[in-house]
Amino acid sequence: MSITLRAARICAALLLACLLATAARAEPKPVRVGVIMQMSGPLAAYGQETWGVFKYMIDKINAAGGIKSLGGAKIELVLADDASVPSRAANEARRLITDERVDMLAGGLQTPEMLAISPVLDELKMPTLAMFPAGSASPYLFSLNFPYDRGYAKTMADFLAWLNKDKGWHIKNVALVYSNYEAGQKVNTALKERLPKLGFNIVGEVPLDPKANDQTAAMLRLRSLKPDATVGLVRVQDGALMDQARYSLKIKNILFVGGTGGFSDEVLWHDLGDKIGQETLCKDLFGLAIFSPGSNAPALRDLWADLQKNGHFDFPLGATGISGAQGARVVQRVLENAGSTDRDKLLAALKTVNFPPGDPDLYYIRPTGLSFGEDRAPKDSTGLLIQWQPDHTQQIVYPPQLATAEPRPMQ
Amino acid sequence: MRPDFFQFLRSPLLWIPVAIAACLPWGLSAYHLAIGTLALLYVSLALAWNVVGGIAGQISLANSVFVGTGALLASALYIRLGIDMWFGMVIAAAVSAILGVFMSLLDARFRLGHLSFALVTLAFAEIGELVVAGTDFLGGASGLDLPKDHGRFWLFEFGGGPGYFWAALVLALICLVVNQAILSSRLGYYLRALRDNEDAAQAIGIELFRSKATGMAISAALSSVAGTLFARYSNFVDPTLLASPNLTIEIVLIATIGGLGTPLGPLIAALVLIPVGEILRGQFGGTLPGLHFFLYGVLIIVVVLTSPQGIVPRLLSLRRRFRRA
Repeated sequence: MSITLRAARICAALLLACLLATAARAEPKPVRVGVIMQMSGPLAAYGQETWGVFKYMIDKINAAGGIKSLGGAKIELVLADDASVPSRAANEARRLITDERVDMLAGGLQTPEMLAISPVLDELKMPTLAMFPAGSASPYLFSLNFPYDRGYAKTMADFLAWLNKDKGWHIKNVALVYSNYEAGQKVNTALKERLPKLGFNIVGEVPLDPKANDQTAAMLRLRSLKPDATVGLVRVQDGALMDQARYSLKIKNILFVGGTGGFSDEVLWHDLGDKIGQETLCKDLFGLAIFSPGSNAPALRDLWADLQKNGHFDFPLGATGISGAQGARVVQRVLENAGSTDRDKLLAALKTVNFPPGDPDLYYIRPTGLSFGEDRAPKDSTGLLIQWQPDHTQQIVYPPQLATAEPRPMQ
Repeated sequence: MRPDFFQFLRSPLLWIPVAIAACLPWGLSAYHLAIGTLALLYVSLALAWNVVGGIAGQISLANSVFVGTGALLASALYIRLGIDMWFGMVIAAAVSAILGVFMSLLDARFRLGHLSFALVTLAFAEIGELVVAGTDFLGGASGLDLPKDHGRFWLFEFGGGPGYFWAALVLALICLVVNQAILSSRLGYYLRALRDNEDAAQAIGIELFRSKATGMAISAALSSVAGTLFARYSNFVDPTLLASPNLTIEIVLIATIGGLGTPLGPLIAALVLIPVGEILRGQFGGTLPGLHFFLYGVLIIVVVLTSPQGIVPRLLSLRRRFRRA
């Protein structure tokens, strides 16, 4: 009896061991991806939108079978909040790498945060994908965003030149109107170099104070400069205040060209209301955008519909969320290509990641797709210029190969 | 200098914690060491502010100007002109001290009350932030990216986590000793007399401008040195942090919660609040973003309601009561 019982116990133990071994084979070790976002502090709106969409996409990837080259390993996200403070981002990067032992880092990092965490990445040799910095200061960090010069400034300057050359417009005198913060200043510096080379005359600068509650003074100064057009990088809140001031001062005969949020974010309609929106956004204004729901690209159209229908987000979707979705797909592609969580292999996969035009996972609208250049920024940094329609939809007017409409004449 | 200052310098209660702290780099993870360094930098900032805000009782909201000067000017001199950062630190401290003296001059010249002084210094802080944002030499709104640290001490490089922790520890110790030295010196008496009753203090011969300007210059110079170290430690000089009035508010809150006028208050509050905030954010930032801000708020309300003088004075009075009992 006791021998039978012992034999039964041994059999049961063996069976359990087999089951555990099978389970272990069935459930490969998850890949831990550390995510640094601005979940609190002044940039929380950006961080929460990016995180919401990024996580939604990663959940979808996991539900679709995870990372195939790793035997279906699921991606496990470890979120860290940097409270919108660059030095805190560096600390969180260190924690995620040394304490949480993540395999790779991603984040909705902006340029100051990228600069702050770069020494940590160099020290700990951690492959990192950042969604919003305009460049990279570490050989381990790759950015999805446009560089300030060859991305933002070049697109806007080339667009003005294209209007003159191909569309017969007569723009000569340009005023630089920009939000007076880090990115605004950097793009402005690049524009000051590019515009004169294209034959434009810079008549003055109108920096928009990011702390101001009213931009009337800035618009009065702009009117006194009598430019044909304005160009510059403007944040959403400054763009809304600028348009309110434009409306109340009845500023006409000046073409407003700029990016990104302050000209092309859907939130502007909410902030301005329909009446002011019709008079400002739909007249004499072209917005630089990284993404536009007005695009005909099937991948983006499907994603947009999916996010609208199934996302159930408690924030309005915009370009930030699309960057989150694209970031998730890049993380997936890098892990698939690396087939390993070895940091050297992940770094090599980041260097060679490629989304050709027409790729079903390419949500950014780029004529030659998405891959990284030597500077670890996207090789193709062509932005889109959009114009608003009275029904709050957008039409792409530039670059010509992606255009869905002709640029509307000045009114 | 009163004899109690020398007693303080000889006290094991000072040196034993310092010795223990100096050994922490061998026991802490890189992440916890970084939190320790941050806490020590805030100790220095809070103690530097305490000279004016606590001992002299003047609510100065301009310390971000001094911290920003230390961080940005020293870094800009190094990056743009190749001036050694040690020397840059001295230049920035001198500039900050001069700015501090100028603010004191305004105070003495126009006999600003405490509230007016606070508003004037707040205006300086706001102007300072705008000046930084509009000055290319100082990096504008983008800030400055310092060259990589190769551990060359003579170039103000401390070579990674432990080096910066020890540097921050030394600076915090200097700030603590300076605070105690002021309290034990004639200047400390003058400042406290001016804090309690300016007219009476002047009536007995205390020079208003000289006393306040000296306190302000010391506070500004120490803040500036902390700013320079903060910049080199971060490698990236972030003007939105180091030149923003929000930094001063944070410093004032730490010092107020700890207890004004005593060096122990800002010291303990910074050593508790900064690590707690960082660890809370690290642990709950993913699930409960902003929890550390919430707890900060709750703590301030609790301290203001239960011990308006701050935690340390409250603990000291409880200890005295306990001893009497």
